[in-house]
Amino acid sequence: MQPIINVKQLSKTYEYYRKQPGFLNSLRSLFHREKLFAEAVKQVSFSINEGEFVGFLGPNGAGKTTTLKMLSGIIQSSHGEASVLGYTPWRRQNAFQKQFALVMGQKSQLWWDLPAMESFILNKEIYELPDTLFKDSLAELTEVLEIKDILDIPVRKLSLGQRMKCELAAALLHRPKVLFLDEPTIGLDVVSQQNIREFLKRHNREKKTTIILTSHYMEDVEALCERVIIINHGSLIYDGVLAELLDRYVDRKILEVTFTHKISRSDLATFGEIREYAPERVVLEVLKTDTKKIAMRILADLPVDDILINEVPVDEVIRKIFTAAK
Amino acid sequence: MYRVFIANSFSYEAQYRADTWIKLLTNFLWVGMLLLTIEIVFQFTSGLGGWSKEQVYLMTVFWIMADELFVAFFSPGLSNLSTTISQGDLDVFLTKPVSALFLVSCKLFLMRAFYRFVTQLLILGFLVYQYDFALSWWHALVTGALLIIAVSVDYSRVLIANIFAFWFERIENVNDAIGMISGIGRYPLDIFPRTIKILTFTLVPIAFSAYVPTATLTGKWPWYAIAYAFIFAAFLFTCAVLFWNYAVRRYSSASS
Repeated sequence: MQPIINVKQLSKTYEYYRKQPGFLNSLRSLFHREKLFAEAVKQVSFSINEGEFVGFLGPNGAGKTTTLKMLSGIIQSSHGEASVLGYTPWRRQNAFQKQFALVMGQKSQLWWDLPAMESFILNKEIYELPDTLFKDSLAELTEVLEIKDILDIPVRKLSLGQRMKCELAAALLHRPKVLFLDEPTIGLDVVSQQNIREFLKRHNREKKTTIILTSHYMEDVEALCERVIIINHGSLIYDGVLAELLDRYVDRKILEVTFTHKISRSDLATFGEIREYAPERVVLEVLKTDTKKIAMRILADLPVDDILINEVPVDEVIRKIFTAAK
Repeated sequence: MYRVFIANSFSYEAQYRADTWIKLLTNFLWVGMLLLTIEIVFQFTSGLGGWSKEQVYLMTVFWIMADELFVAFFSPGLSNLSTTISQGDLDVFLTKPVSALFLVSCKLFLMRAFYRFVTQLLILGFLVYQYDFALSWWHALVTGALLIIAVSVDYSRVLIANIFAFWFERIENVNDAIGMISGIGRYPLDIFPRTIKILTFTLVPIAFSAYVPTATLTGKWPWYAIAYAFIFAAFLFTCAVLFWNYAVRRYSSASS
């Protein structure tokens, strides 16, 4: 299968200026400024097939958004190539722009003071949608997103969750083949996050839309993306299946044990590294290969009420990867 | 698409009705003051740099008309360009299959400025009636053409100035400065020294919103002066669009 997104050695360097604090330095900077370069994205390469749902992970300032901006043609690359649907994004050809959509959690494409419906109608004109297609899309999206009743309320009066749903509807009206999502669940409550997640999953499955998602919330990525691309300090450090990432970077498991009566800390130290301790409950980190053996020993030696064997949480794994890469 | 813009702008203004009325009222007071000033000045003199009272009236009304047309069609979007850039709205525009410049310039149509334009048109009619200005279809046509040229020069001027927001984030003051400078265009420019007058036809093109149209219409200038105005307007507009394209190519976007 021909990849729908192809990125080769993509780099972006920003110019910026150093400014020392203080009045005199401000005055000086009016005439002379020290020019600096920041490499936001360094020689990143990957390709994505049609219908994939890919998660972009990385801490703040890692270059996720910059990469998305290049892929959606907002900014140009400094070096390297990218092709999305066969187009170079930053040439900003209309034929390309009609086939993708970008949703940014922190920016809005809806008219703030007007009901969302007005923005939808505007998008119909911008994307030159035929009446029937517009009506069908609208009916479908408002149904699935459950926003039928809020379409005629000014956007500024909507809750963040409702607004995000309207943003998604606005972005999907023209049935894009590729969808870029930049932190779509930022600031949302748990229920709204869940709603948006379910919608995205369904949309990806039913419409075969290729989706790239960046998010700070590991839950988003865990629930939605089979494949993750991890970027840190502008460089790609992992590209593959999420489950394999865990296999590769995690050599430990978590044992959570509750006891029928109090056990002293020193009695537990021999089993593994203590992460949390209370007299009747302990959380231990043990080597994956030893898990079974240690669990059996605990069961035999101590008055166990309950024992749970857990995976190390994904966001902890990611955090480890980031700190290790520094 | 423009139809939707206008419809949206209409409902937008309808949301802030009180504001619209107050702004209309203050504007009428301002126009009244302006015309009163002319009346008072001409109590003491019969000519201003070779211009009679009715000609200065005509010039003022023309200036306001061009200004209101510009404000109605382009100003709300254009003079907010620096905010559009710093808040990242431009990112959204750039991903649309329509010219981002068109979206920036035309997204909001200021209906109340259009009302004011119509009022000025009525005042113009009154002036023509009161002072026996020559009136023919030819005049109306030339007036229309000159208005378009005037608005186009206004547009290019404001666009060029605001594009600097791509490099210097905060330039809101630039619009105040432009407003002040273009205000000079209301006066008969013959009262200024020659060098300044030449500047207003070239580097600081403010002569096109009132002086050139009035001079042409009242026969102070030959008809073919329109040709210069037209060529200059086209040239300036081309420069503005090229500058825009250059800026957008180098656009670095606000962070997240």
